[in-house]
Amino acid sequence: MPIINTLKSILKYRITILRTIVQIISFILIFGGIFGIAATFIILPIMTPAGNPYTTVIGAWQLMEIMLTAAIFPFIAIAIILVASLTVGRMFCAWVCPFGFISDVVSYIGKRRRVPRDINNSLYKFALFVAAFLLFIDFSIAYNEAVGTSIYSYFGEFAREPSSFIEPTTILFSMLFWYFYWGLYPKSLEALEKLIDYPPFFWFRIFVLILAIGINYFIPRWWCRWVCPLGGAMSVGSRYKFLKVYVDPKQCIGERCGECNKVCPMGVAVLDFRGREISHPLCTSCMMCLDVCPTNAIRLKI
Amino acid sequence: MNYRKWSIRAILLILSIISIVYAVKYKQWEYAKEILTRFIDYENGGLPKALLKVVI
Repeated sequence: MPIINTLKSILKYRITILRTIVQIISFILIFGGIFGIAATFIILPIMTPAGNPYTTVIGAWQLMEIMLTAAIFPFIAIAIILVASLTVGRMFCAWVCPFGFISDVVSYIGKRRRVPRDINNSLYKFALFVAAFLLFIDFSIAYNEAVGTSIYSYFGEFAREPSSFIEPTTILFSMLFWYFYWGLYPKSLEALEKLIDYPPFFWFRIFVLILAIGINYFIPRWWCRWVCPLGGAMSVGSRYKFLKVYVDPKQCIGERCGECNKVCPMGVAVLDFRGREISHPLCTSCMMCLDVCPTNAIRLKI
Repeated sequence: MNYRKWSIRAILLILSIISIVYAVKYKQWEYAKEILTRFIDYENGGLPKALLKVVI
């Protein structure tokens, strides 16, 4: 009987299990070039590096920046971001994004610290600032390219995709990939001395990557909540998405339980939305709250 | 009926449709595929140029 009880307790988290399976499959397909899958023209509202030779899809934010800095108006990237925001909101962050998957893996093994609701909501606005700031840079470059006064030189190597300077997936899957692929790493103990001579931006990006992954140990998806520019941009429209999570006030037992509040990886206070749809900009429709609700008061609603 | 919610949805929907129409008109998905099928070094932060001087 203990096996059956264990199975029952595992199956209680069936949506989370399904989500993890989808994340693993998505991760494999996104980097499907390793298995011989050819590059497609699929654009997804996730952060995916375009510089990795094995990626089969391109992230909408990356495409938008690459097109803008080439003075091409990125209608297709904007369409993808708008349509996704309006229909499923930030669902791709929870179900498909490769960095979201890495963040989840780290936070599963980590020791979760609860961030106060007000701080969480205030820090989320930083993601909006990051998105607005990067868009300002992109449009400035686009305008100057269009009128023939290129300002690429001011942004150095990052002129074609300014977000990549602080974006962990591009650092991990593009910069570090090529670093090892080209064999640029020190191959002997004596060569370790040369690490000091590396350009500062290399170390800065490694520092950003370590922070972006490491802090997930204590604060799940902190990067996705407070820094990700695509998440910030999508959260504006995702308040008005059609597919929403609804909390039924008749079935919800409120503060006596509070499991939904504890489990939300984005730190959304689910109980604040009793009797209405969760329209919080940070909600990624990961549906972990559906899994843990003992009274089945939380469900999907269109 | 929440008029604010539905009017914002309508605006976003109109913007989405305009973006889709122009994306189809200019066949912008071909640009996406082109980016994925050629080598781009935008995300490498100057690699290998920046490190070749140091390492080799």
